[in-house]
Amino acid sequence: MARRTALVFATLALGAVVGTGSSLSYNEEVLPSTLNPLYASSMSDFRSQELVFDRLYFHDAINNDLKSRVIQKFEMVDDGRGVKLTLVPGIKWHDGKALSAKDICFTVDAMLDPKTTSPVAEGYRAVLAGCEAQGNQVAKIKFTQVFHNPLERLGFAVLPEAGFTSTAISPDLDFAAHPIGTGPFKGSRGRRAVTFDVFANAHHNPGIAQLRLNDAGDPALQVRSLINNGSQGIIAVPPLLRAELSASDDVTLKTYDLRSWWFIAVNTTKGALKDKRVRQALNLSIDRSELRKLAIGTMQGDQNSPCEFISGPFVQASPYYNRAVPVMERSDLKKAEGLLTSAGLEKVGGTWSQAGQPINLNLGLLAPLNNEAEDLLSQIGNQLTAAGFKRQDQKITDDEWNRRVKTGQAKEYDLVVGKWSFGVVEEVNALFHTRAAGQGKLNIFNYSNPAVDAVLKEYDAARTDKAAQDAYHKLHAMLADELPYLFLWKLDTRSAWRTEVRGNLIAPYYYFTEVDAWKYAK
Amino acid sequence: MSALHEIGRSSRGFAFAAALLLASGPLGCAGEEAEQAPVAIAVAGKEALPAALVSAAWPSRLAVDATRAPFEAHPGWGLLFQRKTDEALAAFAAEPQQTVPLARLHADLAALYRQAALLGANATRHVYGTDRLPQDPPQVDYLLAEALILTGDCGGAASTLGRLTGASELTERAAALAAFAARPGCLSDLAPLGLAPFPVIAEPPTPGLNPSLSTEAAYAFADLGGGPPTTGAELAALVALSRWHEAAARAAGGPEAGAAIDQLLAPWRLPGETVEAPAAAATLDDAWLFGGFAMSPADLAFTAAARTTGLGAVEAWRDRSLYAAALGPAIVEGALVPELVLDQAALLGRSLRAAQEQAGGGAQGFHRTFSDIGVVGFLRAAVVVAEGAGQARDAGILRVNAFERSEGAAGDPLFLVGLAAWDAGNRSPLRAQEIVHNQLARFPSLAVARYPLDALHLRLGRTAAPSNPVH
Repeated sequence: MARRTALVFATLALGAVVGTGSSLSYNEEVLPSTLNPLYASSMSDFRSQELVFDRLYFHDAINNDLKSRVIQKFEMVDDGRGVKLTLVPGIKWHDGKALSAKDICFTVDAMLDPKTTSPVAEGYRAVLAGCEAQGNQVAKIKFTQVFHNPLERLGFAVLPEAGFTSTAISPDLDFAAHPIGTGPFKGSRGRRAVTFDVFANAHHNPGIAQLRLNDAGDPALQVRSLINNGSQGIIAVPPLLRAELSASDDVTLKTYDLRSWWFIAVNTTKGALKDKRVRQALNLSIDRSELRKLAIGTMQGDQNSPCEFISGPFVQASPYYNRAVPVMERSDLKKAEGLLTSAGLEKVGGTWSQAGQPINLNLGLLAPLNNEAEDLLSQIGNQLTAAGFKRQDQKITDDEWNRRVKTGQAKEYDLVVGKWSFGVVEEVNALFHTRAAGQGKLNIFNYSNPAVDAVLKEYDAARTDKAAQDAYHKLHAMLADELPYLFLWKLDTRSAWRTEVRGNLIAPYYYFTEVDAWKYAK
Repeated sequence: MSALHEIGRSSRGFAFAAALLLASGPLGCAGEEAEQAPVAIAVAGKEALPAALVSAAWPSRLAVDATRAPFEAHPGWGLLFQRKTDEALAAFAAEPQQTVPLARLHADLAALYRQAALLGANATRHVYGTDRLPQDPPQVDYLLAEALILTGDCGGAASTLGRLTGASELTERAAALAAFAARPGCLSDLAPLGLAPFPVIAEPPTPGLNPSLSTEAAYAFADLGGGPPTTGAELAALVALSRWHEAAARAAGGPEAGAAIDQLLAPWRLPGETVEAPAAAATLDDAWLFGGFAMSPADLAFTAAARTTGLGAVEAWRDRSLYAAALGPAIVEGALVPELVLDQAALLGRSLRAAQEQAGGGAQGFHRTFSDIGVVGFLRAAVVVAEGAGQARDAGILRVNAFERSEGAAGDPLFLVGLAAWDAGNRSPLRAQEIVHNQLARFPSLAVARYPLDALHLRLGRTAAPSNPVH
């Protein structure tokens, strides 16, 4: 308690310095793991990088128009297989050098360099074929084919040629902590915070002098700090705390258009979990309604609940969601017992055992999720214990999640709780395809099923939108039976900002796209 | 506990402070001069809003327990406050003498299904217009033509129908659509879209009924490449449903309700429909206003007028309408300034709360709920003004701000579906899908609009910049 009080005072004291004039302090879900746009892997990364870099093209946060701040004009060339881009004159990098067409081409070349191990770049390799600088102001980008709406494919952040020694860009360069961009702010990542200092430019004129990003910490403290003007914003307010902020005249809750769903990934390569019946029994052991009530605070039947159960890897509103597959709201321990028994497990002294050894589940949770859904790790653990499983709980840091969980190396876990976020592209192939030949790069426990792979291939090869939709409907039904994931829910993200923060439009997905218009006015 | 108590508790954590004695009595008439003396409401740093207009707003007048009591006596009002339009309609239908709330709810539904048709049309224009792909089946020209009509481009529809081929199953409807598009001012009368060969709603318009569209509204066009069929929807069915509810509203309200229904519908009509700016406010029973997004009859008329006259309506109505008066200071050099509108919205909210406290003899939990409705109603009116003034992006900013405040009792399905229609027009399907998904349980006929909206998402998602799932 004393530590908590001290933290409140420390936060308020910090706010007294930062939250004045045109400097703002806000809490992120987690510190960004990198400020290098090629290696963005969390929403915190994307949001932070939006402050530092310009994307070649972006969508207006209000009317969704496709725009560019760095391109003055474009001309389609080579029968649609290329585009000639003319830069806005006078744009400078944060080190004072001039942005040139060579930087655009360097960025393209870096993404095409196979030694750049970036998942972001990998996606662009199917789109971009090369780039040629024609003087300082004109870059000609070549596409791999004629695309419908080609400018929509140019959403990448521009990197400075002078910031790197070669086009082979690795994630561990100093650039990741001290990047050079052309965006509205110059960013610098420290151990506990990231500061963004304004950088006036030909194409940016922000109304805020400095932004300070703080790690999330205790959600209740964040809320107190916000109400007391110790900080000015919270990116993701847990549902349990939204009512308190909603009642304050000094704070506005803001919607943030982001598609996120939560899951428990199951290690299908390990012990009893290899057996589908055991995974199905686990699915039946989780009482989602109870979890939601305890961790999110919403109840069954709530109108327009921010939290809605899912039965597959899409939110219910998505056209890819197969509405014929029912969600599982309540546990059914009796049915679970039947499945476990049929899989050869025995219940000894209230605990499930296989070949005389008790089933001991190693349960992990991406740590920031415990802030958004209070005590979720313990709640899930308790339900597993009640169902007759021994278990150990561990929080997984963001760093470990990036290094080991997403790369399929966290084999010591039996179950991990996580969340995936999407924009308008809802492709899930990387999550469920067998990890081979560049596929399945986000396959947490290296799940492998040829039938699933075939359906994912069907999606990739779909000639029409309907064929793609049908393939994912099929995938949804298969995964709901196979259960490499126990699907939990989608959860809306809401931000909160002090009312003194004006003009703070929040862009879908990237968040800070319109930050130039933000102001702090007492 | 009444449903209104529930609203006060659930949206802000308060209960009404006093137990409400549910004695029935005659309802007030908002077009008449307010009986209580106007209160002077000053908020530091801002020019106060006209006290008489604030006092005459329904939240201020109905902060008095005795004035509110007749409403609390009927469960339909609680349901209306919870925006459970379908259940409220059923509750009022049980008592045919409740003509005004029935007329009002049917008018709301008429507006909602107009916006649903617009949503579908906006999405269709993108998918099979600007974003059309060679593999799309030829029948989509029919869907495109219909979408062009519903968004006011009857000429474009005629030429699109002219190139329609390979659509034998649509011959009759295409001919009817072509005839419709060829009429001068084609959207001046929507009636033909509710007649055969388009899907027809069997029941005659009847106050209290709430028909749903059948599966006849869906299409499946064969894929020429042998793939699964492309699905689509007959948006004329949504227009027919809207017109059905409009007729039910007029039947419930009688001839004297005509002006109010016209004004309620005005901001939500299709782009090509004719809207006449009212010159005067109607004299309206409080049952037209309570829980609604116009604070007074003048606000309703002002918002209707703003659809056609934009900023001119502010000047014309600022002495009668609280909304117009509050918008006046937000106009600088002939343009509405969104930041100033938001300031005025905050001032309006505080003023309404102060007026309620004064009228009701102290602060109560529901005051915030009532004033939130006022704030959202004001922002919605500002959207109409900005659009009428040709400030499309500013209208968008205000719309998003209205959406962010559309919580609890201020979360109106009609506005939300309208927002979804606007999003679809902006090629932005995600929020629109969430809205439609959330509203489907109450308004199952919205499923018709879901076809083109889903098609838009599929198309955009498959032609967007590469993107990976992130945590």
